[in-house]
Amino acid sequence: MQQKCINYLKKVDANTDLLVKRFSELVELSSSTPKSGEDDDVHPQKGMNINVIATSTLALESNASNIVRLLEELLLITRSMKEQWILQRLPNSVADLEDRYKEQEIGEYEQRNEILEGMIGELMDRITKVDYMGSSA
Amino acid sequence: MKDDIPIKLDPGLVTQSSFKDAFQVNPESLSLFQILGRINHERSEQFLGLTEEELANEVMNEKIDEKLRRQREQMGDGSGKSDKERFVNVFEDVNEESLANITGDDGDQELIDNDQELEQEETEESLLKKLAIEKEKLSQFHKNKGELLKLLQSSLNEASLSLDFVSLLVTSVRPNVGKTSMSSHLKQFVPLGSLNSDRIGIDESATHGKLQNVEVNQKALVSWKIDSLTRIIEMVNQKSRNLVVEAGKEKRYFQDLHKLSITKSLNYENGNEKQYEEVLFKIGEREIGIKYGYQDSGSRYRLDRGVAALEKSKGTGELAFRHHKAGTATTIMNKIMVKIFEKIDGEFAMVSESKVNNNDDDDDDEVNENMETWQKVQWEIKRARNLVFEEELFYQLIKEAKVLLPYGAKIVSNRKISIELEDQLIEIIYVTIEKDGSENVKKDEKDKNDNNNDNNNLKADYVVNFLKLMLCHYHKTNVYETNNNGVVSGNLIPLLLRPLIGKFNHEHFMKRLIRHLIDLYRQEDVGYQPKVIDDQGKVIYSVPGFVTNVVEIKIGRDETRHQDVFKKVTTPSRSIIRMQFTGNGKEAEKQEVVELVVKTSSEKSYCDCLVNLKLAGVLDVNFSDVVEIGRCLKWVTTQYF
Repeated sequence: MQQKCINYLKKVDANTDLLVKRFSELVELSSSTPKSGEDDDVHPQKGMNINVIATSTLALESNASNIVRLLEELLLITRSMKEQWILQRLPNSVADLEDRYKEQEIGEYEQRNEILEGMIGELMDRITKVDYMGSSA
Repeated sequence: MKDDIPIKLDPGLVTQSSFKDAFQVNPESLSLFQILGRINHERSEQFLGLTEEELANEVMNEKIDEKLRRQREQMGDGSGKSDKERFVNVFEDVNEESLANITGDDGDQELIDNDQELEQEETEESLLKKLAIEKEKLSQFHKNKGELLKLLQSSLNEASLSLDFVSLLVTSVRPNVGKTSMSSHLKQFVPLGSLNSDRIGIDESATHGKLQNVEVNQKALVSWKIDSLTRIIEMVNQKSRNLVVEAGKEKRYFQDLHKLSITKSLNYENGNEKQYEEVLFKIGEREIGIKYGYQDSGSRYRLDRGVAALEKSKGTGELAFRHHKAGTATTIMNKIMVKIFEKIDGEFAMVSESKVNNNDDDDDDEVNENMETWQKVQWEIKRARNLVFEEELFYQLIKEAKVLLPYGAKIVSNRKISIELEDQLIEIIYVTIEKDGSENVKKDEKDKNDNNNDNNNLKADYVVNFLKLMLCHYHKTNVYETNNNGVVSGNLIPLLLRPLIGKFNHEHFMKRLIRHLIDLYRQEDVGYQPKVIDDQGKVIYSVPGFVTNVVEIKIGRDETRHQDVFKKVTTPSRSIIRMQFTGNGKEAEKQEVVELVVKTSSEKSYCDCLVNLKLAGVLDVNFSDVVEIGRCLKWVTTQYF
């Protein structure tokens, strides 16, 4: 259980981290002027090159879909957490039953047993009752 | 004579030539070009940047390396000697010393010996130390080797991935070349030539100062970017809306599921609420299943395992219960119905019929629109549970009826069993009821049914309840068996009908027997008059006026109490008839008692009857026929009383 918690936390952390990264990349790429300090003086128009723009738009879109996918993954994490919670809070049935009978209901159980015994016997007698002195042979 | 001819033996011929590597060439015999080529190959760099200092350094390093290597070899020799060997050496030294002492060598010699010994010890210690260091080094080496191998493996993996990538890239230009080095997985899933590349270079036109063009270009490019940005915005918006909807659905589903899982279903049992929780588990990756069948409580019914999926309905995310009978589940319910016929004037007439509608306590909470989803699902689970129970009951009944053929049980069709007992006929029918209340029972039969008295009317219901209880008992014994023995005894025939039929037979046999006894003693030549007292102590037959010469026929029941509730019904019936003879001038104390024990032939059989006649000290005989018992009794009476 502990390990699972840690895993969940790790995954959430990793995903949020990636989300922020992708988003900052997206913002960076969406600017229409070249990044300062990176380009050399020889090619002042490098940032506006047709190929560079084409790749950067592609990168933009892939980043956006990446963000969406990460969000979906986060949703999946909550889902599996819910699943875990619902499935794990179920009692260990045998132990549960034992406890139940141990603690309080032994007396009640026996009493019920007696009643049931009487009743099932009567049920059978009623079904199979035959009048010994009855008319039909 | 003395012509000594010296023959020189070149050791190289003997030792080295045989180990000579054919490919090892003496470096001094190589030509300059060959040397240059070799150096080029070894150093993988040109001679261009070579300086004298560097070369000097290199030579120095090589020398140092050589030295180190030699030292290590020496150490290796030292450590190569095993410990045992060394100890043997030491032992021998000591021995020599003692021998020297005995023979009385002079002291100088002794001193020298001692010195040698000290030296030897020192070297011994240092050797051990060295050995330890060597071992450490070795383990370190193995560790490093492991790490290196790991790294190599991962790099190999990555290399093959990149090879895949590159080969895919190549296939766009030369399909056949790329295809050979592609992995089969990639070949299978990615079409050839689907990856292409282009050089992102510096646009010649832009750099060559065609400024006008560049400006136009720039505007176009900016618009591209804006266009792509708006597209992204749209997509993200759309997806976010979808996600919100999806999250909503998820929330709804899990709320329902949660409520279902924490709400304990209530079962009424002697007015006490018994609580149980649903058994949920995961099916595959994304679905949650529910177990509603009785396998865990001991059922071995394998045709319906009682498993269903709790799925999320597509539109709203509501909880939905889906099992394999989904198509029919909402409209149809199957139930066991029992009809009892009695022979009146040689014909069977129905006297009792079990109710099939609303005889369960759960029918009061029908599905209605006000119910929450999870409540509806809960209701459906409950119904499926009842359904599977009835289904199993009938299945087990058929299974048991097969072995009861000699006792009047008949499987009429795959939905009907009939059991003929003396003057009664019990029919067990598996009926299908439409949920709107109409059932396939004929109307006139129903009317006839209403005319009968209440006691008989309930009899069929009693039978149904009895059978259900017996199935529960069967389940219980199964659980007990598996818990205690851990083994499942294979094809056990369930014990449902047999106690009932056995009891029927027993009672009817008793009836015949009693009547026969009465008839017997009413005959005048026997000399006794019968008086029958039933198990409650009530006189059910007597001839008025007689006080002497009376045979008291007392019916007794085997009333041993059992720990197990069902033991009483699952043990075959057993009755005892005691006959006490009084009067006829014999002394009053001498009250001989004849005992008739009516039982089954063995503990395991239910449906046959056997009578054991016992007269203390005289007789102990078994009969199975009423007339024979009568004959014997008559003889006994005239003989002994």
